[in-house]
Amino acid sequence: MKKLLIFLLIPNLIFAELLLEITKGSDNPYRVAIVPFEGSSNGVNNIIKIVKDDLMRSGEFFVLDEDMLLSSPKAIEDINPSEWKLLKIDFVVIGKVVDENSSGLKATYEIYDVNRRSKVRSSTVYGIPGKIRQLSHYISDGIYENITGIKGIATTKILYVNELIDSFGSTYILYVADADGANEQILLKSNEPIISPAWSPDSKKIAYVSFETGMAKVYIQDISTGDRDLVLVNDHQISSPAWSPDGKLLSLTLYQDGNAEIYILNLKNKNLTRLTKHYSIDTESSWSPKGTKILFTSGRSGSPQLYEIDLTKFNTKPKRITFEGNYNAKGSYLPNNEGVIFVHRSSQQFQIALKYFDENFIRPLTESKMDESPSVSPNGNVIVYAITDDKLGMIAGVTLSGATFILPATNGKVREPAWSGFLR
Amino acid sequence: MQTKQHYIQASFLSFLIHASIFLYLIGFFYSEKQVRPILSKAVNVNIIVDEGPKEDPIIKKPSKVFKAEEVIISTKSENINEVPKINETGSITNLQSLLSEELEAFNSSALEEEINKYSNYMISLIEAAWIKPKNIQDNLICDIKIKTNQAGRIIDINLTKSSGNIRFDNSALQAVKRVETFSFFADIRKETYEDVFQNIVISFNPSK
Repeated sequence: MKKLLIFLLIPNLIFAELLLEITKGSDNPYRVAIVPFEGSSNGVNNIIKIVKDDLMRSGEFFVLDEDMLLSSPKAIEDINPSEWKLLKIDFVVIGKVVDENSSGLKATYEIYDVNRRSKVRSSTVYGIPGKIRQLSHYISDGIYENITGIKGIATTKILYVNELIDSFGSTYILYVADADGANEQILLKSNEPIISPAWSPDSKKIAYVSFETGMAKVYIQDISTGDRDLVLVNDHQISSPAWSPDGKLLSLTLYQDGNAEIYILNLKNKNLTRLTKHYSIDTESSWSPKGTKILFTSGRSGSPQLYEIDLTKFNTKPKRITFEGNYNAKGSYLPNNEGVIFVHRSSQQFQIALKYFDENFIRPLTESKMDESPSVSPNGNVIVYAITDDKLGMIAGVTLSGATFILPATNGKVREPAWSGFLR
Repeated sequence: MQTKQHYIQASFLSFLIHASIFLYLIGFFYSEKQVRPILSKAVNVNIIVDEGPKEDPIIKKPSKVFKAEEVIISTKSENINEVPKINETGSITNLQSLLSEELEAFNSSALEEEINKYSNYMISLIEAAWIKPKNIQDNLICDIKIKTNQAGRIIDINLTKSSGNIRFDNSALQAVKRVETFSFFADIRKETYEDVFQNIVISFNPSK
């Protein structure tokens, strides 16, 4: 060992590099110009609008308005860099729909970096005829990834429950929609409440709680076939399903011990393992990205707070995560396990907040009155949550860079959004 | 057998220690490169001369810049002390040595100036390209090691120290990638490039 140490020390003495320290960065979003796409079909004009909305929603981009463009180059070679410098544009996107017929849709696009004065990406995307939205989302993700280095989420999906109230009572509908709220499809319709939808890690199945039998029961449904199964047959209420990252386990809240306790269900052999044991409520479990820890809400301190259980150690005491205020609930991990997102009550407001594990304070992300059910995007940059405004329920979003948006309203009370994983 | 092995190990270790002490004494480990100039902001050489050798808070370690100034100052003082000493034959005896000292001092300060100048170019280019993510922890630091070729093109990028926050690390990597080429490398002398600008560590530290 000592011998090794000496050898290790020698190179340190001989080689030393120049160290540059970067202390300042820009807070401004990337400025992008999208030149109108060429193509024959009517949908071509929509591509730019959809891509622009996708990029703007991320909060990390500013997309120049079409009428502000000084020219519309048809190819990278036609770009005059100084013209774009004048508009303070960082990247120019040029594209066209090359082929559209009954069998397919094909588009190409190129990204030009004005500062580097060179092409940084050239890509071809394929789509299904008539599905210009899907194609546009692919382009958005390509641009987002190329410029930020982070995977885009325009092609991901969101689950949510809509409660329609008419003279006969309420109808609950479970929807799946694109991340921008468009293209919604009905997965389940019921006269009894549907709550807590959750995606499987491969985003092919969903789990949710349905009261259709008069009791809270958890079902798993295949999205493409619509087949659904009751996960556990017993005489007690079951709620809050959450999938483990490997898709083999489901954590659930069971009420069979007189109060709410968290259990882990093995989906293959249906074995149940009890995780919490306390006379107060333990619920709303969620798995850490690696599946080694479970976060949950517990009332054991007298008020709802977030706790974490380490699954790699046997019989450990849950560790309390939140200490600020008397209400912190519905927590979930950031995808890189740097912290947790949850609902926090400050004075009389419920807001979405972020807490990093290496910080001892929380960072509120929203400012409205009744924010609930946060769900984090798979890239960790955006959080969707439900807002209640008078009698209307809507889905809003906030990005970690501070931008906010509201998804297009539908009639009814929209609540409980759940973000899928990456679908590509 | 066991003891024999211990003897061999011990003598080998002893040999290594003695050899390294010996090599150290004859100056084997001394290298120009071992001084690691830490530059974070413009270090204006002239201003330092005017103010005298006062510790600049920006420079954490005494770097080459400092030594260069000291040399200049000492040569100057020697000049004052020794130039009037003209001996009877009317020639300045130590003119030759004075001149060479002056030249050496000039060269090393020129090198420092060169390093400072191009380091600052690089810093401003990277700072312009860096979009710092919001809502990140305070006190995040990450180090990126880059390798450049003589044309100034970055040929290798490595995250050597992660901040623990992937968004922060990623923004730093993206900033370096966006710079891609330091076009002014053409103006840098080959020796300076090889000694200083071939391998560079870029530390992103917005808390400063």
